[in-house]
Amino acid sequence: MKLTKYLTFAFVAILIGIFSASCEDIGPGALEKPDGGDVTIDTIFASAEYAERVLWNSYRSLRSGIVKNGRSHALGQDLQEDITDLAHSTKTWGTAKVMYYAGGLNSSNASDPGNWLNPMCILPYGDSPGKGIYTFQAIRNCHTFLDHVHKVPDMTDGHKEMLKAEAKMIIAYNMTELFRNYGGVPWIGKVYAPDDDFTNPRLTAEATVDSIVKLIDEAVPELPWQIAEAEMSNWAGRFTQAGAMALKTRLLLFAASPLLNSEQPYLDGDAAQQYFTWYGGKDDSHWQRAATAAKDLIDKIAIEGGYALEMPATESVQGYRDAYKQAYMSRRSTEVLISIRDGYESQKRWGGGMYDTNLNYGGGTCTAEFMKMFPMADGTPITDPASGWDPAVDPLGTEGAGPARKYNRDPRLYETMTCEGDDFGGEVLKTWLNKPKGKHVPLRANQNSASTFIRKFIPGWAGGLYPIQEHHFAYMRLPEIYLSYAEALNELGQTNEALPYVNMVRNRVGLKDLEQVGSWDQASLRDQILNERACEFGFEQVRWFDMTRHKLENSFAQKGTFLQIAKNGSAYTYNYTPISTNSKVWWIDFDEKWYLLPFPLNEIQKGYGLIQNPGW
Amino acid sequence: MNIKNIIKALFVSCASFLTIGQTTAQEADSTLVNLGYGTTVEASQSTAATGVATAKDLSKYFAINPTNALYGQIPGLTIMQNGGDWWDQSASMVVRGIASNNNGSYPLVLVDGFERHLSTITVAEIESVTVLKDAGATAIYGQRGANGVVLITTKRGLDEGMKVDFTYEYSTNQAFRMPQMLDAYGYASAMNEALALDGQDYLYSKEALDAYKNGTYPEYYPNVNWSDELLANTGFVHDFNTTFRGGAGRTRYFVTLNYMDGNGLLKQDRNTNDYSTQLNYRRANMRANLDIELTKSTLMKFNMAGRISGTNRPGAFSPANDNPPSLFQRIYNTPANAYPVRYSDGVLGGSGTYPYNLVGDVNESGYAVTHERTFYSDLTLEQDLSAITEGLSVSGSVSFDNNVIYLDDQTRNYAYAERTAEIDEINGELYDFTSKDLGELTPLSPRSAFGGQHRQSNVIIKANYEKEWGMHQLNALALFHTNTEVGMWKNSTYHRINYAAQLRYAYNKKYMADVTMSYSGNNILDKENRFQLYPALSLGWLISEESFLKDSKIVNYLKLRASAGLVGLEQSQWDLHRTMYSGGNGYYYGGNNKYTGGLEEGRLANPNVLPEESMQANLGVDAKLFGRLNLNADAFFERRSNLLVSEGSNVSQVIGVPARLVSNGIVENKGFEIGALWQDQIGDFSYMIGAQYSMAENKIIEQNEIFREFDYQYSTGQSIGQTFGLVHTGFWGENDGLNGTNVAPDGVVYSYTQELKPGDVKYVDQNGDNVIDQFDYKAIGNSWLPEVNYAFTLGAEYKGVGFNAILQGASNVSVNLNTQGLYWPLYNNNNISTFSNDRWTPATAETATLPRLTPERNENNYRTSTVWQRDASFLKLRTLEFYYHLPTAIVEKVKLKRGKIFFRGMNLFSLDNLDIIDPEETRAVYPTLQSFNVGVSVGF
Repeated sequence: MKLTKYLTFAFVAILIGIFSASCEDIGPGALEKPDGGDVTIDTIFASAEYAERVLWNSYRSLRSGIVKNGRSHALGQDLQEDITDLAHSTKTWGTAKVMYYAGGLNSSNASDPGNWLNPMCILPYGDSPGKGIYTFQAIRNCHTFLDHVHKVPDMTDGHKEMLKAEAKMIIAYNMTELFRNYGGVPWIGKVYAPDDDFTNPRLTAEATVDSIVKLIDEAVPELPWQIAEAEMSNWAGRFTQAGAMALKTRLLLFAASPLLNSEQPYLDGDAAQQYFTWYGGKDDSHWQRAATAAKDLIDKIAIEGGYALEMPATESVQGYRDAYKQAYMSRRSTEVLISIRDGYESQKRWGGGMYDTNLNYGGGTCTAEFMKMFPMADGTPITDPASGWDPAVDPLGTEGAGPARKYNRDPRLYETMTCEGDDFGGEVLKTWLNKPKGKHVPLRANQNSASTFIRKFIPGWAGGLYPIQEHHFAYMRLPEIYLSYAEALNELGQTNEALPYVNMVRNRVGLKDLEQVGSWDQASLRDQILNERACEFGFEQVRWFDMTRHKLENSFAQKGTFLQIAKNGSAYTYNYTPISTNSKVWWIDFDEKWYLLPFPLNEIQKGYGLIQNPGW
Repeated sequence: MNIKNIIKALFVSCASFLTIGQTTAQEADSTLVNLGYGTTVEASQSTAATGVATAKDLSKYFAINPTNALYGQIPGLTIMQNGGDWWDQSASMVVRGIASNNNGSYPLVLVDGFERHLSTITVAEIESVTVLKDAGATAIYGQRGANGVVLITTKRGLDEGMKVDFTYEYSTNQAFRMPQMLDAYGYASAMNEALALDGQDYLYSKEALDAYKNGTYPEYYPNVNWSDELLANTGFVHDFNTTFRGGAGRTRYFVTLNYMDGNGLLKQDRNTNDYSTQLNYRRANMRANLDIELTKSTLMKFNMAGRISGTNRPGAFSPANDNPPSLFQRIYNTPANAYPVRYSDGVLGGSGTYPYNLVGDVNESGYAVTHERTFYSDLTLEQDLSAITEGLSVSGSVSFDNNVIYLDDQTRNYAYAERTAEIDEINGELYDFTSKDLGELTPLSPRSAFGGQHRQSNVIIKANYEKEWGMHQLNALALFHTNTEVGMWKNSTYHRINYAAQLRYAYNKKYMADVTMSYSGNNILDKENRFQLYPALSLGWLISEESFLKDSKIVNYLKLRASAGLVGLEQSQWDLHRTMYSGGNGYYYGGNNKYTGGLEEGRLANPNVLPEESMQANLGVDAKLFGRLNLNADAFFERRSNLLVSEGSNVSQVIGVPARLVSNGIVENKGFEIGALWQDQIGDFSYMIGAQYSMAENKIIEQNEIFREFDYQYSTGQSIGQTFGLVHTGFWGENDGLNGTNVAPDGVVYSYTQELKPGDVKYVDQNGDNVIDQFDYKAIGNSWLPEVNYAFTLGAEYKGVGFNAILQGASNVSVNLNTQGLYWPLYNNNNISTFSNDRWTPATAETATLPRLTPERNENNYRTSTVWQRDASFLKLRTLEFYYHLPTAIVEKVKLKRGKIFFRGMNLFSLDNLDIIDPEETRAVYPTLQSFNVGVSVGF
């Protein structure tokens, strides 16, 4: 019995011991343990480095137009140009085919496409991390940043103002993208909490433009004119004053264009009645605003310097090509005003990205119509009988080999699309179609449809491998400012004043002044400027918005053709075949609703006042 | 089956975990059933819905993982076969269906009261498996109990000297079913057929086809049956088990040692290497369960169990690789004509398209080993405090468990080559030879990696009070339980606490009322919400004790049970109540792809997230009739609420951050279980026939589903896991007037294709908008989880010779056959199996059940639809066993006390709708197995 008592005592003592000694680990206290290393909003804005990272994360919402393996910010795994008249995708599963060619886009599938393989529209109204779309997240982040950055202790006021200006530009960029795709949109002017009353109807087109312009105007004075040379290797790619002014030009030119600035809306409906999709009338002052914005930037460049067209080292085909390539491809290009950074693609063979999705599977196949937009090497349009261009005889102007090889067309043609016999990173391109099966290195599946595919952004093979290289996407380049200024002047009736700005862009690649190749009135110069923009900015996501803002119904509805080259012995024959793979519903029945995107039905159903665009 | 369990409970009691002096009652004729936290109660006094399988039931199976010995044993416990490496085919368990997707809907599995993986112990250690099914039984587990609780009790010592038993079993196994891939000629012909149907040129010339068929040029036109080349017909397992069980004086012990060693189906070439690349698994399990009476009123229980296990496999498939290839995917997906095993000069074959050689993978890629070490220990002290108050006792337990995995490789690359040649049409000779070396031979290189660690510790303190006065019986229990579970990282650590109390009252042993209460929580949720109260009430009425039935010859035993209560389930997502920033993507500023990191706002906080809550009600009846027939039936209803669902359907996307998760989801689950067992003895002949049937049907009531244009698109109202797909109505034919576009003759646009061709799938346009698209998806078939499970148990014995059989089946279950290569042939360089024999061709248009072949990724034909869905119901003979207890006279001659030999087979047949593959595992993985065993068991 004594032993019993003793043991009972010991037992209870042990239990109490276990319980109390390790109370922190096993007792109720365990649940209250502080969690280390957690990062909340308070932690973020207690440190300059953390606060900046919120901004760096927001920069990611800038969407590159280049297709990368596993990432596709443009149009799923297709390029935006694939839905224009410049190019066509022969991929049967691609976004271009499913959503656009087949007319599959509607208000029900316009939202988050989720998985990176799922088809999507140009810019879904709602974020889609799987597709690299962070529009609303970035806007929220930037507002969070604007609201809290004043708390950051280890940051100078000047630096804070500059970062705030960058945050405003990221908002402005995203709102501009929404505006170009949807017209007037709800204004997201703060950090919304889920319980906030979110009755936030669309702003009118005019109010949307004004709100964005206001943001840009606030940001401009606080931004550095350019990234200082010493900072380039670390910080190139951030918003600058010149970039902000460029975005403003692009926005105002879009706003001034006939889609919104017209006697009639492009389609009637609720959204048109409430001026979400147009201004409600035609007013030249919109063109004047665009012209002023462009001219402000041109003047400022004249004073401050720092930006200039990349000019050829020698006045030769190679010189022009190199200058043009430097202009769009290089992160150090002096004419890039807004550069979008998307890392790099590692060396691989048929791995994906630009190679696989385009050259291999058939995206970015250039139409014959695009090929025909490029003038002769001296600038004469091919439609001019004096050009001597013959669709059946060496239409690409490249026949001949070695030193005897000619380059009779606009040098940009050879940089934009693959041309038979051209050098492709050390290998000779064979783009004729009647090659024996399986022996068509380096091009693969695409060989069946056409002989001209995208080569822009693709430097070529090095022994069948894609060389590792830096990527960037030149979202806006200086030539766009010149051409936009010219376009606005022309619309304001100042056709002759416009010509020099077009010529600056032409001369860089050796094309003659416009005056030397024709005579120009307002209508013909308008067409010529759009043509020039297509040639200069092929695959740089300019054409689609040119087609919508000018309501180029014909460019949508005209059935495209492919140039197909056949080789017999050493002789080439050139055929122009109507596109048969993935035909477009637009070719049969084009609907003007396509000028703007549909809002997702899910989002409209949430009942905060979103009104659908006409026709959807 | 429940009846059977009740009967079992009558004969074999479970280990008494709490009550002092009853530890020797295990094989005594007692009537105890196991309830939560080690409480035991007489079966006639239990008000809970439980099911039991005993060691004897489990011993009918040969199972490496104890989960595989539970098929058809307990009504309401669904056991689902899994494929995977043969040592890894532990089955999934679900109690009474599912009512949420949280934590995989798995029940809480406790081994001797502590959460442990069932697959880490052996069948031989298990005394009983008890499933707690209703709130009356599970509420005591509070926030962990809603999915049901499975209690595993291990064997303990006996107070009767020493009993030694030794069992050896040899098992040979083979694939239960394996898909058959076409041979080279079949593959090449199918490819040509596919190309022709797509309007393309053939790929294989007549000469090539002949070469495949006749084996003319085996180097350049090979025909390799990769399964034959790489797989042996049978694998084997040796299983040795020794137990020492006994006790003397104040000490009782149960000690077991188990060693198992087995090889998989791989065929390795032992001449190539001085090491094995076979799929091998071996393990040693040991357990020592000690009961020591420190004093007359103090009992110490000390349990220690450990396992050392290791696997071996070819280096190419090392789990230490980031994304190791799957052996069986490669076996199935490499066409018979891809390349020869070796060229005549001994060089391994290969190709750019299939950049590996399977024989090289298996024999020449080195080997990869895993080592796993598991250690479980727990100590319990039970103190009878009758000295203070009669009927009072306390106990305290601590446990420490650890599991570590370590990976150890010796791998290398091998060289192989692609060689091609064309066949001349005229003279049939080869020409245009090409040869390309691929891969490079490297020496074996070592690599080691840490595969993971998992730790758990527990402290349980209990007080118990029993009192009987007059007709009244009272039993009270109060306990405190704290648990810490640490995964690989600190941030996945769980701390859990449970305060629970139970009051059981019986009047005249006829009317029972039990009240259970748990207040429990963990560190996952906001402080305000983490602790919740879970009460339950259960009632019982032992009708057969009433005067009007007391002397009935027909009704020997009859009890009614009813229970209702609330049980919880912890959330498994962390930091739902806080908005965290984490390393989101940054941006590539500057040059040289310099990356500047960013910080990203996480999901919006919702401080109001609650643990899942399950309101459960149960009605049950237990009966014994005619002295032979045991019946048992239960019906249940469950309403699971507080399921996490996204707020995204209400809140605009434009707020720019993932919508909050809110506890708004509701699922209802209802069903019933019936079990019957007829058991009789006629002279020396005894027999038993059992049957059980269970059903559980769930329905999503609320899940904040986004707006859908058409009612049939809503998954709300359907069951969890319901498949949505297109409904097909046959295939387009050659004379249907297809016009080369994607517009069908009836004007319906097929949005998933550019051009409809004969042999393409014809779908129902559900919404009548003349477009086949995502809006035509509707609920098709059933969920992946069978709603109905049933089983038959048969057994008979005559003078020591006997047999046992368990048939188990499931129905109301669907499977979608969408594995490329096996069911979706050819495209993406995939292979083709005999499954495609039923495909559409112009000749078989009338009878075809599958669409035409195509070399393309055909979005119209290959998508979730009724074309690819199959009814996955089955009835399997899970086990059939014959045994012979050697007569005592013979046994004693060799100085033994007992002797038994037995033969048995597992998974001998299956009646189902999928003849080519196991309906429970349809993917391209290691096949499920069928085994034939012989064993001997002796005792002394």
